[in-house]
Amino acid sequence: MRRYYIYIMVLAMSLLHTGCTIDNEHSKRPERVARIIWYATLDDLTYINSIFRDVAHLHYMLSNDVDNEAYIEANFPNCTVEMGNGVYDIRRKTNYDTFITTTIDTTSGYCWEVSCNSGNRFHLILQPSGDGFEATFDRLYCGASRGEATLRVNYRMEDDASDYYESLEAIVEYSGTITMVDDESSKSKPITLTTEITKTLPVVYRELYGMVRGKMKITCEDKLYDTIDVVDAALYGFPDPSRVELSYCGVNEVIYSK
Amino acid sequence: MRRFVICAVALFMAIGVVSAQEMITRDDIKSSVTAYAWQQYEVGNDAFVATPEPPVVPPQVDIPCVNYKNFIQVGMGLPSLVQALLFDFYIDGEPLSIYDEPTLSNRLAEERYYWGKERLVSAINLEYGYKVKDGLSLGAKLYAGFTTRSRRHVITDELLYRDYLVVASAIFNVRFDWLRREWVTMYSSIGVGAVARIVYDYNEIYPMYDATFVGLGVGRRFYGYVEIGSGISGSLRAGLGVRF
Repeated sequence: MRRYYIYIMVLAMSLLHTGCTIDNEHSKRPERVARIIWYATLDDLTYINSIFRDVAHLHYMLSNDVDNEAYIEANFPNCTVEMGNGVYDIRRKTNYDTFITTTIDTTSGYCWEVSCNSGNRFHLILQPSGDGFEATFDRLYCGASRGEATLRVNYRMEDDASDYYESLEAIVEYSGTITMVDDESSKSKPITLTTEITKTLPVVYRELYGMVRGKMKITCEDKLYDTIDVVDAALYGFPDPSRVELSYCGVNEVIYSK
Repeated sequence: MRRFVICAVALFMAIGVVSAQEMITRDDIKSSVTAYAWQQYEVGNDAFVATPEPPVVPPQVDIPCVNYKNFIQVGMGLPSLVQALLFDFYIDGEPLSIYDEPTLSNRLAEERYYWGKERLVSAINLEYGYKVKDGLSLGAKLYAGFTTRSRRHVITDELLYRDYLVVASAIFNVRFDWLRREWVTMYSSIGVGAVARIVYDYNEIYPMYDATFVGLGVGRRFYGYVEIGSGISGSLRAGLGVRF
């Protein structure tokens, strides 16, 4: 009987200690999390800025007595602008011989509905405020994301009608909050990106303002993993920043443009 | 001189014994002598009734597989190529299938978390066999193996969850004992069956084989074994068994 116990013990000990451990090589680089979040936010901001630029010029063109053809040639390069009954189609040719059409419906007064044939669209309320305008983006759809943005955009337009190039005054400043929900990841538990511009973000139309530093705080709420990542970003130049400084969980990362 | 005499006597005695043995063990002589003796007893003395000789039972040779009908053995094995494919060893920490889509959530998860060390228990084998005839056994073999690893946060090292992969197999086995001695048995076997691969909440089932090229068992009722083979049980196996 003792012999049987010895056999069982030997077998049990062997089973417990048998097996192997594989140490998977994985470089822990948390700054990659910050990069992913930053680039997702930058895509949304760049899209908003590109549309806003068209809206600002169109608004100026409609509000002032300008030579439409000359103005369009100067400020809508490689585009055709079709106008009719308050609805404007701005068609841009892409590198793939396709067209991106931005439709701006101004028939509702200051509430403009902007849509693209790519599916992106939003409501834009443009109201004069101080020296510039305040823009509110509602029902924002950008790629697989949807949301809203309350941005204050301060800008001024040149009054010199004879020179339509660079008629948009130097600084177009963004401030406010953008909230985008990414449905592509999960319909039931999506990712919500909230970008709060904590320090005015200037758009660089002239190189001088590329040295102006804007700041933002990006909160990424991931319901699938029940976690919140916060990234602090400081950038020089927008929409093509020459330098971006990211901070995530005490880890700093600097991204330089090419 | 004395030594020569002793050797000669011993030699003649040996020859005589051998001859006598030969005489006794030759069946034809034995039969005639026996029949003659039986005749004498049958015809002769009524008071003496010769009882027939009981049949000669050859002495039991203690070869384990002759006496035991069943065996059970349990052991472990080193990983084989088949197991490597089933376990899909994560050599460089590649993720599981739910991370195949490059969505924002998946890309963030890939960088926010990392896979810890992978613990592998490759092969636990349990085999039963029934001897249908000398040298041939039929039976079944069960196999189980699993691997586990942890998913952790890259900064806090907090455990998010543990990942498990279980592989289980059932094989119908045919075993050939081609060398049987009192303490040593050598054999080969071949079997076919199915294997299930259980990952998270889905299962995959495949056909599977198992072959033992050479197996060596040492022992009588209780024995230890070592096998070299291929298939689901591993490449090199060892364990303990019991015959009954």
